[in-house]
Amino acid sequence: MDLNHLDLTVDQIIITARPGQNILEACLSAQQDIPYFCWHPALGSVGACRQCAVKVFSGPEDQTGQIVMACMTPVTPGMRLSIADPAVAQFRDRVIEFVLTNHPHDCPVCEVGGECHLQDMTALVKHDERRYRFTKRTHLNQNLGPFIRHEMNRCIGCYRCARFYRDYAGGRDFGVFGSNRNIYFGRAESGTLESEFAGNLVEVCPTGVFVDKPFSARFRRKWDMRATPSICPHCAVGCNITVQEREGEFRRVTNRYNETLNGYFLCDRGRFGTGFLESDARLRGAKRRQDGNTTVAIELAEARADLAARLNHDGVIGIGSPRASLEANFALRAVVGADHFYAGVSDQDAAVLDTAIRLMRDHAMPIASLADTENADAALILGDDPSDIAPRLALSLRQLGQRATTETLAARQIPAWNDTPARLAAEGHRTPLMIATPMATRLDDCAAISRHLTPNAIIALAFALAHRLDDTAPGVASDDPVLAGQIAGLLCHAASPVIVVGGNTCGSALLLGAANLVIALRRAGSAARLLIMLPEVNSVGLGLLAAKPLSAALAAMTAGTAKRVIVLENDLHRRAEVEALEWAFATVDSLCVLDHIETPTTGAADLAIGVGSFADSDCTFVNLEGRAQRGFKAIFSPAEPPQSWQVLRDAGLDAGRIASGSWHNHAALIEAITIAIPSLAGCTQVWPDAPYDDMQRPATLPHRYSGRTAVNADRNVREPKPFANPDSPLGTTMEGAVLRADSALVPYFWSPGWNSAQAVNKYQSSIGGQLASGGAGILLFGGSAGHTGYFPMPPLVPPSDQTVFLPVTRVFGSEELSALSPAVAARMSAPSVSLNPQEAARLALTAGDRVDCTIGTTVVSRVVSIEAGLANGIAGLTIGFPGEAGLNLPGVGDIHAVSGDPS
Amino acid sequence: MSAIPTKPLTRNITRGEIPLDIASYERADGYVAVRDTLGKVDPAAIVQMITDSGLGGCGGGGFPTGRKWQLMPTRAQRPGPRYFVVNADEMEPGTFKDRLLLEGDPHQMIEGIILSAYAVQADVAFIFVRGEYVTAIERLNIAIAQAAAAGLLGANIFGSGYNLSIQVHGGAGRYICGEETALLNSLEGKRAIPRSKPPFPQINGLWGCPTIVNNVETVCNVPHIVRYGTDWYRGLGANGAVGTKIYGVSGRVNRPGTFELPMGTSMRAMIDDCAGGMKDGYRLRAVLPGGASTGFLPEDQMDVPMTFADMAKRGTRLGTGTAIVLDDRTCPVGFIANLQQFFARESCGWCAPCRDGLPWVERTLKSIETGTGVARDLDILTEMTDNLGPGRTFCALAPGAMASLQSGLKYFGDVFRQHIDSRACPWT
Repeated sequence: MDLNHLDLTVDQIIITARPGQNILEACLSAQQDIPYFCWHPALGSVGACRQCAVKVFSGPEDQTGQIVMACMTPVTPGMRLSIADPAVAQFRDRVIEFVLTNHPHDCPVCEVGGECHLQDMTALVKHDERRYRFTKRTHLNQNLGPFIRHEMNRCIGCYRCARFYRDYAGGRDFGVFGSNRNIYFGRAESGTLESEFAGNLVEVCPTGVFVDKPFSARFRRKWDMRATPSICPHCAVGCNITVQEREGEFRRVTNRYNETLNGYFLCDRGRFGTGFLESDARLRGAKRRQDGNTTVAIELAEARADLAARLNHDGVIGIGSPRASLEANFALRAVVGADHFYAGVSDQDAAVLDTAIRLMRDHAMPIASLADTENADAALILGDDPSDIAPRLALSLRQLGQRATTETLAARQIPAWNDTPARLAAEGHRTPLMIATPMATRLDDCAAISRHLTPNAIIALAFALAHRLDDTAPGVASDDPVLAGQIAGLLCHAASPVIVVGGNTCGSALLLGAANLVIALRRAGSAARLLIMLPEVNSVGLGLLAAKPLSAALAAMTAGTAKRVIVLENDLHRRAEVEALEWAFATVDSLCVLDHIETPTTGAADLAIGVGSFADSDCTFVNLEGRAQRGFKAIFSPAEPPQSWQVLRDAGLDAGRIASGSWHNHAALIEAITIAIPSLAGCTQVWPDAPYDDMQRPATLPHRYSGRTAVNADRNVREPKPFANPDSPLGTTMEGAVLRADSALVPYFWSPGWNSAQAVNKYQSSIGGQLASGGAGILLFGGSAGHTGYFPMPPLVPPSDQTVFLPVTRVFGSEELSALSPAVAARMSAPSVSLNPQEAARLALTAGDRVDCTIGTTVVSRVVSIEAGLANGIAGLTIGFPGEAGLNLPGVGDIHAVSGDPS
Repeated sequence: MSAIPTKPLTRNITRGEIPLDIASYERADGYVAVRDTLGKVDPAAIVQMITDSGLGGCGGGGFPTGRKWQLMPTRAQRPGPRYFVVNADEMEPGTFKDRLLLEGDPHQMIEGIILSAYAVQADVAFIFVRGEYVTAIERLNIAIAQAAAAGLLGANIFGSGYNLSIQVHGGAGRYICGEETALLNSLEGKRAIPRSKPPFPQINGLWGCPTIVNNVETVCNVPHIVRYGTDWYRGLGANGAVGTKIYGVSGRVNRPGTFELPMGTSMRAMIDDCAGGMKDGYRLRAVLPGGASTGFLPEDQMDVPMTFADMAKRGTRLGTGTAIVLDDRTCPVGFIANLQQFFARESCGWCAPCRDGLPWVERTLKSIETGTGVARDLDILTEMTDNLGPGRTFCALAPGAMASLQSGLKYFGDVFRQHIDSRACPWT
């Protein structure tokens, strides 16, 4: 007997289901449509909307059957059910009729019209008559902040928003109020939604209650926009997104399902941060400095010639960037020569990155995906709070920490999809999430253990845990044997624990400690995995190019060996102390910067060339797992900026620095990368079978793009030819290959009858599972480990009498590009320094005081915030805010109160 | 031992008097069962005794109490906290029997809780009391303090090794809190919405722990069954039923009120003998036998015994056993509309048919009553009784609401049509 499959009869059709599924999951997986509202594949079943009613028959003789909710009923072998039965079909029709009694039918002016799950479900049940003849209930809307617009009258009461925001994402400032038909989904009072996952309400809502506010201001219908698959550029997770544009203007970002990474959800930095594309800070065209402080705009061809002329000299160096693509970084490296290519990151970041790559590539440590992390049976977070560095990862960890253990659910016979009882069962029986960080994290509320320790204590803890599990691991005495015993006990009990580590506050030593812990756990027989939080979208890709850090470049500049500098998509002011940087800039003959935004570095350049952003380029990024993923050029206009690698290629060819004929197209460049850098060999496989025959390419224009003539008909009735991108395997037109076959390339999820984001159901092998064609991206490192030896514990930084400043990243503000998005900028808080209450009292400071913090030669102004749990002698300093100088953190220094009115 | 009672539940209750304090209660044979049981009788034996007694849930469901208790996992199976919860959120319109027991004999309630909680080995008990029952809350708290002072509550009661504390929680005023799982949510500080079953509260109850929820009257029977035995208890009933029941009646009868009678007494006997029959000038037209969520029993069926099984045979339910009389001078449409207004307001808002269907029903009935109904309304109402019926909605609130409408359409269909045809209410 096959224990992994069972057969059901659905209206005389036999479908195969997996034991443990509910009827709704089984039927949707088998492409049998059942309408639903309150169910969501990631949120599970609650049985509230009653829309997915089906009829189940108790045996072959049963002709009457019983109406049950498909989402709440587990499948059983040989089950016989009917979706089409007239009685149950009538009931589903009436449920639609019930929820529509209050819905305003404002589809023509609703942003969700045309991609509305409510419209789809109404059409699916064929409901077309209105019998309710009384008044509708109405509500006032709230101002929910810069991301979300509220239209409560459209609400059909499915509860998905409240369940996502509170139960899933752990938010506390939004929920459901009132009762009966007068239920209200919102906040206690108007105000910005606090959760950094609030934007998901746009896609979670089955209709138009929560509207993407920036998109609403530059709205186009789904079928009027060109959609392109891309990778979110705002952190190292590399969430899969769809970028939509119209007439050369960026419109919005939506989630693109990827079962191993982002699943169904993005963070708000990813969804709304891309607004930087339309910001005033975009660097457009090219500029050359003329004596002193004046710059003039020059043609691109002239800029390219100028760049080529610089390349004709000796002493040219290139400084790459972790926010630039592999293509761009490699092109610069090839043009200046590998020995003259520098990484453009601080020493601290470089050391962490180097260690991370050694662990992942050279030592083949088994690396966890976000899905692995979410599904692990224990997790330990060491060093940094993922909530601000990799928010989507934090959301996965939250699911682990909030979930009842598998044993608890099994003992109570509660299927994991049965959301309400499963969450209830987690009381006292949560899957252990353990946290050891210097500062409080936003996951502390769902952690079994959450301790805030000094960096040295955290490093010692990691090594001590490994030693406790395996006495052949380097021996270190833990500062807190009780804590170490508790954590080791919970980790030992787990079959597949994940150790999540970040080096921002504790440095690369902590990564080695975490690695030892994974090795010790694996030697004890568990399937432990490691996940290293790295800062930027292409940190790993840059790291694989094995370049020296920025300090080495500055040294070469001040030593006079580097005379001409080419900086790629990088604001070096964020990476180095201003004094050292400006001294280096002052000593070189020329500074050329390629970037898509204006920064202090482009301001210092004598040649600044505006290039394409991620959305204007075909770009490969390597994420924190070592997964190479490709995004495609998504914005098309006559005045489109050149891609960095093309500018560098053309100048390199002119200067004879690369062989003629090099990189004639994107595929050729990728091939050159894989030849030069063997560890990037997988990049050719990111989309190996991508069709390059025009008619085989998946369409990026939706099948209803027919409005393109009409939209501009007041100005011009001519139908312009859509822009082509021959480097991409994606097609230009409405025509194209059937998308299912190649769904990793799918630019958007859209299926007949399924016009909303829920259409992803149609592209998965089973509900909530893989995309039918497998996930996008290629893992570059095949971690398997086991034979790796332990790492000795590096010497710890000796204690200091001065205040130790640790970097604090903020989800809104610390990331360079998203901070330029007006919506994200509106969510930034003031840069702060956090102190524990004793430390603040010692310094005679209170919350809200303005202080100067001096670290090395840099002084930054901050507002004091008090944070209990921070160790004595430690201060958390927000970093990366717009316009701020680079800081060498962690570092020691002093805090001085600033007297007088800050304004 | 005092005389064996025939009306055990109300034996200590005298109209207009304050309830017995602990000393008087103990003189009246109170807490003897507790002293004889804790640490002396196997808890499983108490469960068996309650099962054998035939005691059924008096909150409206009639589910056998012993079977409910048997579903509790053992302490060995489920270590950790276990809860016993008394459902005293009596918000069923027309029902006021639990109030009598809580206000009239709070120590009986406490004794019932101690024995029941001991039987299921719960160490914390909550009494979830309707918030408006201010007097009941006050008297329960006094009784709990007296019992605790007497060593009947607390740690290691009478050296038995058994611990129990009782807390009184005043509800914030939602009808749905009478639904046991919504009650648990409310007790946890969450929204009062029902939970899906299975898992049942015994497995995944209050804060996920093993939990029993019983109605006030059910629990008040327990001390007497333990004290006087199952044979005595079974012998109290009439017409094949067991025990006594607090029945009641409201409406235009001469002496509305509650009456402890043998379970299985006929409706006619209660109305005519206990309540003194109809007031002059009023004729009985139909009865809702057990609160607003039961269906009409028409006047020609007044001889039916008031048991769960007999009422079910007549297409209605015994419910709480406190009847509401519809007389001939009250418009049935207005009567039902009034009930539907209550249910529409008290819908918790969780499931779509109840939340959006009941207001539609309410508006339709009021429209008919005020003479603006249309012929199609009757089809819609008939259809609603199906689509808001059992199994279609998340819990029993909407099906309960539909009971009066469905039976009303059956017995008074001509009255509905008369309203629509004449565009007016014949009673106004």
